[in-house]
Amino acid sequence: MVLAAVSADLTALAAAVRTGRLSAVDLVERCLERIRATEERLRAFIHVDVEGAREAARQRDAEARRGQIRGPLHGIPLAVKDLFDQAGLPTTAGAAIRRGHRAKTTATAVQRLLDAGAVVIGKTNLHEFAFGVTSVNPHFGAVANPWDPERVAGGSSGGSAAAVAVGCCAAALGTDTGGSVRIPAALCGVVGLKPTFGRVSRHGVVPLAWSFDTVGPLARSVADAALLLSVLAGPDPQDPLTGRSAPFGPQVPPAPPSFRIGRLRGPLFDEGLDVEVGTALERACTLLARAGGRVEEVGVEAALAGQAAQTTILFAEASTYHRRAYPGRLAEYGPDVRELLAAGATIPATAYVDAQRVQGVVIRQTRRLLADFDALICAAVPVQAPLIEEVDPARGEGWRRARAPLSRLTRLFNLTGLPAVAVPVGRARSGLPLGVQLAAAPGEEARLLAIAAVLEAAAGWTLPALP
Amino acid sequence: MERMLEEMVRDLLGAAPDDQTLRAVEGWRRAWRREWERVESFDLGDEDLPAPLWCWPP
Repeated sequence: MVLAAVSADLTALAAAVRTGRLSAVDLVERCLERIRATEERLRAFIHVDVEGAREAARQRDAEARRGQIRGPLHGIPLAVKDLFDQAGLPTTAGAAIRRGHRAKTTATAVQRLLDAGAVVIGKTNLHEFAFGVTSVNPHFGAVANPWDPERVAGGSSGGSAAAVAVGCCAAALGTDTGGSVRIPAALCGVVGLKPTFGRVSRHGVVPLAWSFDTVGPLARSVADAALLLSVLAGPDPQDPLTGRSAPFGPQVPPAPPSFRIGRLRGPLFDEGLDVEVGTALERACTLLARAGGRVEEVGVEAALAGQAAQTTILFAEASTYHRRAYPGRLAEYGPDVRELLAAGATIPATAYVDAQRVQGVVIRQTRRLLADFDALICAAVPVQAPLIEEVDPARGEGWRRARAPLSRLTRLFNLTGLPAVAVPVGRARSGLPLGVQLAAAPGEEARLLAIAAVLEAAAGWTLPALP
Repeated sequence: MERMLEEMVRDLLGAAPDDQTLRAVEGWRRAWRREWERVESFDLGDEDLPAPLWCWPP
């Protein structure tokens, strides 16, 4: 059996490479070996850049021997969702339509990782065009959950989550438009961070819906997610939304001795909650209270209307993009994405504008809440990971029933642009991991991750070595 | 209704949807309209501007 290539946090790995105790070449070879051992079962990668990663690792080792350290990720093998351009490599976006694509330039987020010394080991599998939450991909295979390969890894960044969970890489890059970082993170037992909308550049990323697309890391721990955000965040002239993006420190600051947590209640947050997910959420609230948090129940009056608004904006924008990008090629998409794109094309302009008005109302309501609370908490995903065969569009209608529950609790934070993080807190009787979700005010990732680290430590969660 | 939807999808996506997709779009539209009722019944006032005009990006 080939064990996980990575079982240490990013800071420890980088220190080992920097001081010569560990070579980047060895680390990359272990990752490649781990990928070979798990790929048939997991289908987490669309493209493994064997030669590119080896060459980059040799360069990082040579630089380290000369004392030239590029940055905090020097020699660290990372994976990137196959939605990001990296010059010379394919960006399929998980779509048959883009099989022949080769990127000429590199996405800003990927370039920032490379500038910090990272080695990109490959491009990860995803839901086709990131328009779905299962990563059951008709063209590149269904990403399997490392905890139970019969079940989905979640999506759309399913390959990134599975690759991190099973130790094929130290961390990975994903995107989140309706929960696509946090859903697979929660289902695979890793940490998934969606930063504040506009904090990380989206230049060079295939869009899904411009109003919500957000780049974020998937990592083994909250500390790793914070380190990655410190590399990723910042202004980029090629993405005007990042103009006000403040730098982020590499370390998670200590949580204040006392802090206020708003536990979200109401039909959106309480209905349809799996019993064990509910128990995990209760336990998380208790742990936070013991660690100095004051937990109070709160509601967002317009939360349900906000769900409809988020669907409307996302679907209309996705259809708008695909109409121009791939005109007349509807038949080449998988059946679920084909149907969703066709459906989005029927949304009236008046509904799109009204949805943006509701978005404003929901933002106002959450801002009011966050004036009194340091963070909000709810479950990350209300259900446990479904079976692949139940949600495979090629095998029936089950994907329709699975779609809404999987993204039910994540979309509010895309509508409001708030930073949100999925944190694993335990396991269900089935053995599958269970996660909760914390969110904070815009730009308050430091506070958010400080509280998330408190919860992570109190829950005693560490990613185990999976087979 | 079916013909109108077919034209709408064809005009907007530049491709005629197959029958199965068309039936699915009809089903999706019905579900979306039920969800949309929550917005229709929501008390939006004159002061409720679209988010991009005043608070977006956050």
